[in-house]
Amino acid sequence: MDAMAEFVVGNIVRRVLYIIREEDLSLTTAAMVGLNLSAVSDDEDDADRDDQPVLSATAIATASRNALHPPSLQTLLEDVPDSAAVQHTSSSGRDSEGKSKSADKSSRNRKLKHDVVEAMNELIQDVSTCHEPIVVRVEHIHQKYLFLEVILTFGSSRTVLQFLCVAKERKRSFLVLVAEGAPRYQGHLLAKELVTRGLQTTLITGSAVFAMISRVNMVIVGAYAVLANGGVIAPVGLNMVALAAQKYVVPFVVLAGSHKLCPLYPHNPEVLLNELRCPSELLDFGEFSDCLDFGSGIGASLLNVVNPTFDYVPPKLVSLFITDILWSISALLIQCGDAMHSPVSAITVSH
Amino acid sequence: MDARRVSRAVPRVRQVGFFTPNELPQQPGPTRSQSGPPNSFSPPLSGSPASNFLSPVMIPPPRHLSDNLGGRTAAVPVPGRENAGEHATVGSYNPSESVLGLASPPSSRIGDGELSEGTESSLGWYRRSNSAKYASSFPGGGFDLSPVKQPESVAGVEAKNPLPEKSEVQKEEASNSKPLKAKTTKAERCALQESQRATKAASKVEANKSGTSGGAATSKPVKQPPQKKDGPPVASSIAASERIGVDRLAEKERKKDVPPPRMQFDDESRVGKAKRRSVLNQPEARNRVELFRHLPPHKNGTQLPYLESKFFELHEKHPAVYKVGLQYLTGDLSGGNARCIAMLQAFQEAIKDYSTPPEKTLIRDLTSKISGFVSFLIECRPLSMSMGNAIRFLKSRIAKLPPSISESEAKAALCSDIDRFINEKIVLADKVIVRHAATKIRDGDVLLTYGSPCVVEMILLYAHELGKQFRVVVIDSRPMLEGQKLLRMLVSKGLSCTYTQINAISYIMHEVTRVFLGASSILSNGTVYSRVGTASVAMVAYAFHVPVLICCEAYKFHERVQLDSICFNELGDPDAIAEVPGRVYVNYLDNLTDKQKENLELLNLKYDATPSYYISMIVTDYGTIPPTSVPVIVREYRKEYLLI
Repeated sequence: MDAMAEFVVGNIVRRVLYIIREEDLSLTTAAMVGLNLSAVSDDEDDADRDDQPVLSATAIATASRNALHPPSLQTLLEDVPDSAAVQHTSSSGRDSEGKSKSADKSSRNRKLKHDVVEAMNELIQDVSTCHEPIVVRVEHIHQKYLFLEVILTFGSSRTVLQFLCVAKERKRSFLVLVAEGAPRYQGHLLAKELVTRGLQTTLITGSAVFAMISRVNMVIVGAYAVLANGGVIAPVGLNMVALAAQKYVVPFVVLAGSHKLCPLYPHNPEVLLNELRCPSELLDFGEFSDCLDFGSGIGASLLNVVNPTFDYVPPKLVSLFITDILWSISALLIQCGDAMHSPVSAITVSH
Repeated sequence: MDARRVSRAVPRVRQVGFFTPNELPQQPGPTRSQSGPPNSFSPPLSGSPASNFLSPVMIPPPRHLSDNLGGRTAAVPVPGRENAGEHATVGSYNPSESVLGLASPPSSRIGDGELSEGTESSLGWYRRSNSAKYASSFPGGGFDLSPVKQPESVAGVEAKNPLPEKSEVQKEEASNSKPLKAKTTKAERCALQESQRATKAASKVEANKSGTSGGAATSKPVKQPPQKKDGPPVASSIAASERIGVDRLAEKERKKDVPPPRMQFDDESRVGKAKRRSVLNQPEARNRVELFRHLPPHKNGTQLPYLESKFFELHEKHPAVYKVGLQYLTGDLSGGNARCIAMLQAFQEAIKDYSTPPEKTLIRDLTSKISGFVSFLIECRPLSMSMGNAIRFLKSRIAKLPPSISESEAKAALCSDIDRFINEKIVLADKVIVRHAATKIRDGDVLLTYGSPCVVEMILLYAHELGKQFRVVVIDSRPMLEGQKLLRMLVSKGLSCTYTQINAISYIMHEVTRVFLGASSILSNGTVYSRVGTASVAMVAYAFHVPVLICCEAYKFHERVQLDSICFNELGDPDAIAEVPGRVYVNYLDNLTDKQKENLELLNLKYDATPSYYISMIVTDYGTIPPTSVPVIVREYRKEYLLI
């Protein structure tokens, strides 16, 4: 669970930054719209304009420049004096405007902050309830694919758990095969949860996955992160499952909340996007300690114990992604991921 | 029958196990030692023989566990072979030392006088097992390390316990039965014999292939009632019906042209029959996976005290065979080669101690006896295919004996045949395989292996001795964790190793240049039937374009065909999955409620089938062949068995 933070936290931070920029942009465009209107009525009574934010041409240029090249957060939120400098270099006779400008700026900042906080609350809401839109899809899947079938899952994922529970509520009969994810044994947890909810569960070892895959109808797993090319960072062992599923042409479905979409691209993901855990999970302390001793004269120990946390599943092995905003193949998912993180080209794909 | 038994006032010393008529009751330690242990009526004492068998396994601290894992490697390595040879000559399969040599300190059934000895010997065994693991892989090897004075202690035990309370019913020892028969009234005996002969004639008609096997079955109860004293009378009648049923099963096994369909355990009627005639209690069908109902359920070691108590009721089981069966049951012996060798040596012992009953021919009677042993071993643990082939070989040798041969010559011939089989098909075959495979290893290679195949271990050690520079990656999997044995072996020899679990195989496969795997058997369509997880390893290696080499002796090839891992497999202990030994905080599956338990099934497969397109090459004692050549070898070289 702590490892998830590595990707999802990064994603959330990027989302927040994006929110801030977006809010600022919307405020700016609203201001620009207001400006255009006011420019039209330039000849109107000046007194009326005191109440409205009035922007000079340079300010307009600044705003449009902002739209194209998003300013840093610092400028947005901390009222850095470059816009104030713009004010000063503006044409004379605008002191009152400058004052109102700064007043507007601070009020604008307050508004910006208010909007940002609102948006972040929405984000929090989305993330915590990301399961719901996903499990709604259960109905579709079941109608199309499942009737007294065998589902294989791996390790433990809350999304998958809820998915299967909803499926059970819809009175679909199926059998769940849970592969324990040694050495963390998350599969045991999932199996316990499933039997508590009354689902017929069989627990198998990770080595038996290939033996059983011929009788499995669908593989449903959760992911730690979904990368920019559609690859999946998943608990270790899932690449083996994905290869077996490809061999036997079993659909491999990945459930992921949209907060798990990362803009990272996997260059050498086994090494760079991975974490090695303690070897004591594989070998008890003291068992092979004479061989693991790095302090011995040679310098390199004879025995090296490898205990990775993550596995990388290439996008071509994944049949379907189901997220809370869409369910799609990986290609569309890439664009969706881009939309969330970059201010450019917001493509919204709705289901 | 009961009246006859009660009439005898003085309990007599029983002859235990096999013996030839000429030998005195002063048996060598092995047989008498079986009578040494007190009756099984007192469970705590009978628990101690169980702990003898389980002591290598059930040492709680993981340190000892891993020691014993090393101590009981299934590998039969070449360097250990010399020791094995010595042991074979000394007392090829010395049950006394094996039974009592592992006396764990707390079990003081030997008596207080020998307690210290037992303690010393067992500790010595443990110490030696640390240092001489390569030798202890051989079934007799581990036991022969115990001090020689053990048999003397055994003799001391016998002196103390002259009265075996449980009746020990033997096979057709005519000399033993004669003094007993005198005690029964002649008329009753004749009547019984007539009835038996009638049933024998009836069964002869049915069982045409092994007609006298049924006769042998019915003739047994003739001997049994006179000899029985306190033993439950029920056992003999069960044994009688058991004989007939078992021999029919045996004759099916002997059909050579088509391998017989396995017994499907979801067939109610046959399961019922098997239950009635089985020696072991069938475990309850709890948590049985629907998909695998056709496979026999796992019999775990909790049966051991029960089996110990039944030891003296098993009339027809030679103690060596019984011992091997119990070792299979507890998992002390695992690995195709080790199991096969242990079984063949137990059969050698049985043959040596065998004597033909008066009205029987040696060929048929011995064949039926072997079939009886085999059925017992199957009950303990389903046979591996290598063992099946070995049994077929033995039966064909027995059938080929000329009828005019004398008994001692026949026995000597059979024993030498068994020795030759072991030597040629296993020992020499391994050497050839090692030579071939070592040529495939180059300097700078990173070799991956899975589990603990004995042949691969030999290959790696041999290549290391040749001076090649390479790294080894050992892949391991739950719940057996066999890779740790291999790992300890390799590290002690100075190879640099990487150890990981099967989940991480995609992570590690980037570095690997070759994959060496072992096999339990190779089927006629090139499918490799081996430890569960092998298929996953081969698949991932194929996906990463790494060549996969299977190293397997040719006697393990089989003419069966299998498409997936489900139609034929072996189920292991389901509880081994739920428990994670040594790590308490991940035992999520403790304390399940009943409602939870009825939904949860645990599946522990032992084997899986690797499709042939994942395999690059198979290294056998006939050379290196592609997977498609396996049926050729099966067809061409199978005749060898018959023509030797």
